[in-house]
Amino acid sequence: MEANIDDVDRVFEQYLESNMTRQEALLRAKLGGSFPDKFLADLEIVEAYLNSGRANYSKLPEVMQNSEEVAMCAAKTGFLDLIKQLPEKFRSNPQIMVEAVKSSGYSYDSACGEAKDDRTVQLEALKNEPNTFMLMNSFEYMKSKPLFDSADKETQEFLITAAADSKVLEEMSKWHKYHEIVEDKDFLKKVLEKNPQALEHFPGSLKNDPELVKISQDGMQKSEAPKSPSTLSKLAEENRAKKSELSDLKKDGNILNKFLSRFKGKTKDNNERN
Amino acid sequence: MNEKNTNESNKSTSDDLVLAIRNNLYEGAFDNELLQLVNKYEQGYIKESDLTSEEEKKLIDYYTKRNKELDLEISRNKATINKLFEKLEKAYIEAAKLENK
Repeated sequence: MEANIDDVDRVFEQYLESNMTRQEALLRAKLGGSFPDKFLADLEIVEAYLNSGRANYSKLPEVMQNSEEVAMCAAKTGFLDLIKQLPEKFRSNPQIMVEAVKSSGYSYDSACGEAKDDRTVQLEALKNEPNTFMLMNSFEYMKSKPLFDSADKETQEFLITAAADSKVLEEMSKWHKYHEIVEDKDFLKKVLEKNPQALEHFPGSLKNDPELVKISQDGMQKSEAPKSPSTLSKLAEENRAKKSELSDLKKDGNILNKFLSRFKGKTKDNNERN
Repeated sequence: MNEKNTNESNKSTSDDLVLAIRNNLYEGAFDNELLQLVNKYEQGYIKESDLTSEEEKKLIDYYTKRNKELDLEISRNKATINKLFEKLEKAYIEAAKLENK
């Protein structure tokens, strides 16, 4: 008789509940598999499961789905599918969504309510993924014509960060409401301080403005100053990371091997008893 | 079926042997002097600025080769883990079949 998936799950769960060690559960979770309920309160295991890339938030027990701590772990993974599944109360929580957009700017698309209008969330999303600017274009405070001088500090920082990215600056130049700001010399000076190379995307004659050209050149000289890591140190760093990855893989293999032998032994015993 | 398993097992042993020999030869390809230099550099006894250009080149060559070797070992270990998981999944299915009998 062929076993169906429910049978497999049932046997697996029976075995897991009684036998699985914490170390095995952690490995299983890391690889996106199920693990016994007795480890549900173990945040390290839950975090490993969420980070596996195979996690399904809606399949977690309700109590876990409603835990702010678990939601925070999910937000930090930066996995868009996972963040989309967070309950609305967490997607509207600025503290949680700031962590989400820091890991993946595009998760801003899943933000709602208070978090969607939160400047810190917007700024962090923009830093991570400048293209998110297009998602913010239609919001209330962006609807009116933004003026740099009269804007509050957070809005100024937001606009400078946005315009420092060449794609966003080009996009801003296309919109009539931004014309005044992208031609504001004081604003453009601040943009150059953040990104001296932005000059080539400035509109018309401002590209050749002597004062702006000088700020750009000074900025580029400064940014060239810090020496980039040498080939040798990069290779040595890669070597350290690879050795550490290999060592982790070997440990995982040993755990799996032991788990497999114990599982086979257990099922053999059951079979003989039957 | 048994014959097939034996063949597979022999193949896997010979693969392991080839890899072991290759690794030994590979490690042997680096002379002691170079390995000592690597050790001193990694322990921080020699800074990069203190290296002669010849020593720097030797270290760059060493890490380039060693990193490629590590990439191979990493993919091999990943493949082993995947195989172990396949075996585990099969074991679950077998166990479920036995329960149903």
